[in-house]
Amino acid sequence: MLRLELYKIFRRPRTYISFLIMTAVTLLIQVAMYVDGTSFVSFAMQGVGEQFAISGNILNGYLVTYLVLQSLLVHIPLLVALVAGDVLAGEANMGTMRLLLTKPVTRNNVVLVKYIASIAYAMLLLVWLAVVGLGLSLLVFGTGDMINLKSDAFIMLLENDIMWRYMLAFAFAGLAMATVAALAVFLSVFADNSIGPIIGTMGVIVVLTIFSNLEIPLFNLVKPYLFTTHMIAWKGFFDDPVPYDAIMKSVMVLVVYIVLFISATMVIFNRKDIQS
Amino acid sequence: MANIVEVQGLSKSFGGFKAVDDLSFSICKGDIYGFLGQNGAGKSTTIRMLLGLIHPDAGEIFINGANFRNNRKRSLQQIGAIVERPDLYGYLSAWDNLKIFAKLSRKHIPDVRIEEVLDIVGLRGREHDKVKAYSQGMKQRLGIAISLVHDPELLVLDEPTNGLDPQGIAEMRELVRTLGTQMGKTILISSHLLYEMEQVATNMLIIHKGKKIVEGKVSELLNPNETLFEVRILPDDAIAEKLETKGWGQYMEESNSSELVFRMHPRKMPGLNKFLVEQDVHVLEIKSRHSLEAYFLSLTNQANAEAGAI
Repeated sequence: MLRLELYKIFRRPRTYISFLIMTAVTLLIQVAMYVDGTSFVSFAMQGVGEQFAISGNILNGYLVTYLVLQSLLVHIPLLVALVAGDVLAGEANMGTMRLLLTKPVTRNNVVLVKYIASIAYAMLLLVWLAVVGLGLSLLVFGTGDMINLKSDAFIMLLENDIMWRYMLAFAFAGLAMATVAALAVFLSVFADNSIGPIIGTMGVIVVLTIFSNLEIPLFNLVKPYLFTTHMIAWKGFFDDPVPYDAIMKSVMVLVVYIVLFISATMVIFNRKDIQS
Repeated sequence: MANIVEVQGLSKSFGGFKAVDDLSFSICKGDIYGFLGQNGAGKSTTIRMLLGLIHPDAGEIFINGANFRNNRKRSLQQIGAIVERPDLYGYLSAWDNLKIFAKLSRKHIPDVRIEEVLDIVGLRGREHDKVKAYSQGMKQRLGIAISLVHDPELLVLDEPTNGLDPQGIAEMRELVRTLGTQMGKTILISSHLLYEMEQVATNMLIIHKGKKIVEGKVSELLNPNETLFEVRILPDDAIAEKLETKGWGQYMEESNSSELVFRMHPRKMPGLNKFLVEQDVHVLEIKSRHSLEAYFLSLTNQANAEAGAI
C-alpha cells in the first residue's frame, strides 16, 4: 500500500514543483554568494575582524549551505504541506476516497500509509537539498572552516569537524518536517480540498513561529510547548559544544506532537462519514 | 437461494434530516437488484452505509451472513462498487488505476485478469491512455472494470448511467445484463431511471424519503393491465359520452375535451384507436406511460399524500 501511495505522489507533476522551487532558491543564493559573497562576509564579520585575525577560505561551501538552510526555514514546511495537506483532502477532492475506502483496507492503515508516504516525500526533499545545497556548494565554493555567527557568540568550526554536524542537522530537519507533515495530514482530514489544509498548516506554523520568536513574557510561558520552538533545534548541531540535552528535549516534543496529530487524525477519520 | 446481502432496520440522519429511515431488505445470490427512488430518496446514503463509507445511526448489515460492522475487510473483499461517479486518478492511465485498485483488494491479481476485465468493459486498446482524456462513458466502464477486477460476488453500482448519452446508457444496460446473466454476479444497481431498471433488474426495491415503499420481483410489480395511455385529440365536448356508450369509460382515468388518460392492457389499445376513428374523433397522439413508472408515481404520490395527511 505504501508503494502505491508513493507511486501516486511521484506520478503527479506538481510533486516536482517543490523540487524545482527548492533548487531555484538554492541556486539563487549560491549565485548571489558567488557574485557578491565576499562583501557579504566582510559585512557579517564587521567588529569580529577587529578582534580576531581570520584567514583561509571563509566563504566556503559549509557557510553557504548554512545560509541556504536558514533561508529555507519557512519554505520547506510549505513544500512539505503541499503534499501532506493533499493526501487525504486531495483524495476527497478527486472523489477517489470513496473508491479507496470500498476496498478491504482499514482507515487507520490509510492514514498511516499516507502519513509515511508524506514523510518519505519530505525526506527526499531534504536529500535533494543536501545534494544541491551542500553538495553543489562544496563543489563551487570548496571547503574550509565554518564561521557560525550568532547574536551573542562567534563560533568557529574546524573543517574536519563539520560534515557530521550537517548529517545530524539534516536528520533533525527530517523529524521537524515529519511534524509539519503530521499537522498537514491532521488538517487534511477535515477538508474536501487541499487548499485549506495547506494554507492552514502554513498559518499555524507562521503564527506559532511568531510566538516562538517574540520575547514577550506571556509568550515565554507557552514557548517550550510549541513545536515551532523545537523545529529550529537543528541549529544546535552548529554550536560548540553541541547542546545534546536541549536537542533531545526537542526531539521528544516533536515526537509527542507527531503521535498526537496522527492519533487524532485516525480517530476523526474513523468516525467520518464519507460524503464527497 | 441464500441471501448475499441482508439489511435490517438501517437508519441515518444528517442533522435533523432523516435520510434513511428503518430500511430493511435482502438480496439473493444471482439477483440483479434494482434500487429505485427519486433524487434525494436515500439511495446513495444506503449504498454508502452498505460499503462502510457512512456509519449508520441504527441497524445492521450482513454480507454473506457476516455482520459488516465486525467483518468489514472480509465483507469488502466480496464487493466491487462504484459510488455515484467513478472518480479516478486522471493523471494516471486506466492500466495504472486498475493496478492500484487491484492491489488494494488484497488478492493476487495477475495482469491477464486486468486484460480480461478491460475486454469485458470494452476498453482494450485504450488502457494506456490517461484517464483524464476519457469520456464519461469510458470512465463509467473503467469504474466497472475496477469493481470487477478482484472477481467479487456482489457488484454495487450506484447510478451507473448518470451522465451517459443514450448510446452509453444502452451499452451500460447490456454490460449489466452480461455481468448478471452470463457471469453470475449479484448486482445491486441504483437509479432514478425507472425504464432502465425495468430493462435489467430481476428484483426491485423502491424507496421514498428514506423509507421502503415496495420490494418484489419486477415481473410481479410490472402489471400490464396498469399501463397508462395518454391520448391527445382535437377538442370534442362529447368524447366522454361516446366512450361510455361502448364501455371504454371503465378504463378512463382522466379526461377533458382534448386529453384522455386510460389505464389498460396494451393489447386493448388498437381497439380503442379504431373506435375513436369510427366516432370521427381526430387522434393527434397516443403515448404510453410505462407501467412501472405509473406504478412508481402512484406509490410516491400516495406516500406524499400520507405524509401530508399526517
